Amino acid sequence: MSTRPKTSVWTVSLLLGCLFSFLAFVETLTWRIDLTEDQRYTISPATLSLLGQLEDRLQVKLYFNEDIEGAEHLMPARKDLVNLLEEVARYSKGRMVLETVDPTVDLVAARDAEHVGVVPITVTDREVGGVSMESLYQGLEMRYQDRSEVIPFLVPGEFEFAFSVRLAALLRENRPVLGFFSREPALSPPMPGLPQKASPNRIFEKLRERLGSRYAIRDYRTASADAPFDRDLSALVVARPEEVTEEEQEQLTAYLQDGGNILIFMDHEVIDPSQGFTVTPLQTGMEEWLSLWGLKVHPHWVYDQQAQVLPVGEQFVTLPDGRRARNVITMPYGLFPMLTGDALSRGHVVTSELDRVAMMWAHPISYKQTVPGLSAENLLRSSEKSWALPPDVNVSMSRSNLELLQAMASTKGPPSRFALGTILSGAFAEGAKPGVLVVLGDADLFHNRSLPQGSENAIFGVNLLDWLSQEDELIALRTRGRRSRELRDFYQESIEIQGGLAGTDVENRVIDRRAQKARISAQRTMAWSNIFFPPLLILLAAFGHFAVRRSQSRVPFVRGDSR
Amino acid sequence: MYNILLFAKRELRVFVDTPVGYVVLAVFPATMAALFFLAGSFFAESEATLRNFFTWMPIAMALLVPALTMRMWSEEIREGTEELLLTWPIRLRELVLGKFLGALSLLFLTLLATAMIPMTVAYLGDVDGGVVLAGYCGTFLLGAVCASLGLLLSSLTRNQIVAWLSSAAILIALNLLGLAATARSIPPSLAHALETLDLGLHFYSMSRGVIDAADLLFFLGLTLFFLVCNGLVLERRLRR
Repeated sequence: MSTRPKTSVWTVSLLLGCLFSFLAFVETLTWRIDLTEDQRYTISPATLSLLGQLEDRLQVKLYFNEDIEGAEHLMPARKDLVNLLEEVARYSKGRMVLETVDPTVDLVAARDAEHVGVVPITVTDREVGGVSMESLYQGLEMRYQDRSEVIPFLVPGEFEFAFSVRLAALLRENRPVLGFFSREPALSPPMPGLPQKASPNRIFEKLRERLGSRYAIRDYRTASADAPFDRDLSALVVARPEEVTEEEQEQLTAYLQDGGNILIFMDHEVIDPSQGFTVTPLQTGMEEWLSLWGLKVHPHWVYDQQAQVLPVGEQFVTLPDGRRARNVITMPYGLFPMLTGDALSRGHVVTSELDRVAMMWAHPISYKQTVPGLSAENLLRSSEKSWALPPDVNVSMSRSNLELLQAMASTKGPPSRFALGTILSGAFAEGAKPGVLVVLGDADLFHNRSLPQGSENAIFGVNLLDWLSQEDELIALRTRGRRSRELRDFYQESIEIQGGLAGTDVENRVIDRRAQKARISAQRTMAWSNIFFPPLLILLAAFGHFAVRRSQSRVPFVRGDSR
Repeated sequence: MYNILLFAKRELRVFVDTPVGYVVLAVFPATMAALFFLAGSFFAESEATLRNFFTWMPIAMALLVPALTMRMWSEEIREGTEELLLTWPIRLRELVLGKFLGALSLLFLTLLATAMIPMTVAYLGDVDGGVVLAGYCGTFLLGAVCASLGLLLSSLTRNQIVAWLSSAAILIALNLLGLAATARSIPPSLAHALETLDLGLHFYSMSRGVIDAADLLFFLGLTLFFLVCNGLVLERRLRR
């Protein structure tokens, strides 16, 4: 028998053994370069600093089922998640212990998951002959000393923020307290075994809920010399002030001059969309108090061409095949400014990485220095194409009214920019401790109806309060990777080239049609030039190459020619 | 080194001296652009990212690179020039590395031909340059694995089509190992091993903008393994 096949088998086995050992070793390596602009996949200094504060063992239990048949597309993201967790554990220098359990196969783990509030999501798996439902666990429980925190379902892109916020809460024995001064009704007293239900008139309840994961919220319905704003507050929110009394103003002044930080978001009216956009004037009682610091929130409304687009009606069109299709007509509602780009201060940590803030019936703010030593900064501004409309205009969202508002704005002279959010900082009196006052010319932006899941307004609000509470280390983490990289808007560019949507309805329709055509044409040009241009260049190079070759081959061979 | 460069140059010249080479070079960027701009949802998503472009890459590489390497050894076997090559007074590893470097040069040219796509996206919006760079690095490393496997299988057969089909099939299978790992019937340890070997997962990790030592060494290790195997196949043939 020949020994050669045996040798080959041994060689191949040895090589395979070496390869697998090498790959197993390689898996343990942790060195990496994160080339993303915002270092999205690198543990941030904020998290590292929190991990450095661990004095005891942090137990982290990951509820995670490996078997995800039917949801294979989630695998890369889940792998990212596990890698991130392992990286965090490495940085903790042994203080964080990571345990992974699978509740789909371990009954005790399933019971624990239910007990701590880790909920599975259901994934539908199509199988031959039917559809099966699978549970997908991706939750985390963190235990530190006698405290615990839970992330019911981890989203890889938001993992580090969710983890760090909870770690910060675990490390702190007492949560920082935020004061919430408003005329909203108080919460009903807690009943054992029943969840506390908020009245629908508590219009900033969702904002409180968002803040609740990091702060203890202390409500103030009134303030007086006997019941002043507590000095242990990390910040005080004055939510849509209403008939603020002189005594309350004095308490606000005292709090501010004692080094307090105040956020005021105010309106001069209450508008109820469910009641036909009725406008009820609101006596804020804050005008005089704000003027002490040189601030004025005007009763006018800002009309901004860069606004939220709303459906204003519908039309039916007949398709070439005879069917009738419903077409929703949308128009920008100028009283809902959409602040993007440089409308958000890019130099301020609160807004630097935010994508947009949507305001509703916002009021312009002006500032004239009255107290020496105070410095002002505009956090939010309307776009360059804005006008101030009087407070008595009709605010309904009907198509005819939108056209009327547009026409009215264009008669108000040249457009300009208006401050919609201003920060005043410094000592608010001679010898006083430095404080911060932030005033926003709109309260509706934090109304419950404006804060759906994932809302940028909510992130703006939480960022602002984190900054006021001197807890800005997590702001960058919260907004990391959120800034969208939008493509050039050929539609908008075309509208601007045509002079904007300021004419009659018929003219607008023509402009819209032209802009749509321009957009489609630009996109097609981009796509087809990418498909044809490189091959064309390559084929030209080929023709050139072969032409040279042919001309060279025609040169007669001469003996002794060294060419 | 001189011999390696000589062989690489030879492979490159053979490629550019045939119209088929140019056709491959022209069809690849056109296909990728069509997949990205027309078949994908790039304009609908309205986001300046090459995520969808790189999503197609593992499969594109599995089909393209074996097409570049399929003739490199099998043509030599079929035309009988292999024996001549093997008896030249040069080291076997120089021969293998020369062919491999030739394949990598072709791969580089082909990827260069797709450069207009990221440039267009950068013109249309604020694209993350780091992610694009890492994505192209990942593509090149993935292509290197594909080239080394393509060369190995090309050295095992005289039929180019067989070489291309078998290489493409193995590469596609290597890209789907991670999916197999999610099956219920697979034990966790085997599932982990399958995930470790999945080319697509390692590429995904790089295409999001992170160059991880584990991914980098995985690609380099696998490339080296296939090149060593290629050398062993040739050595065995030389002994015969």
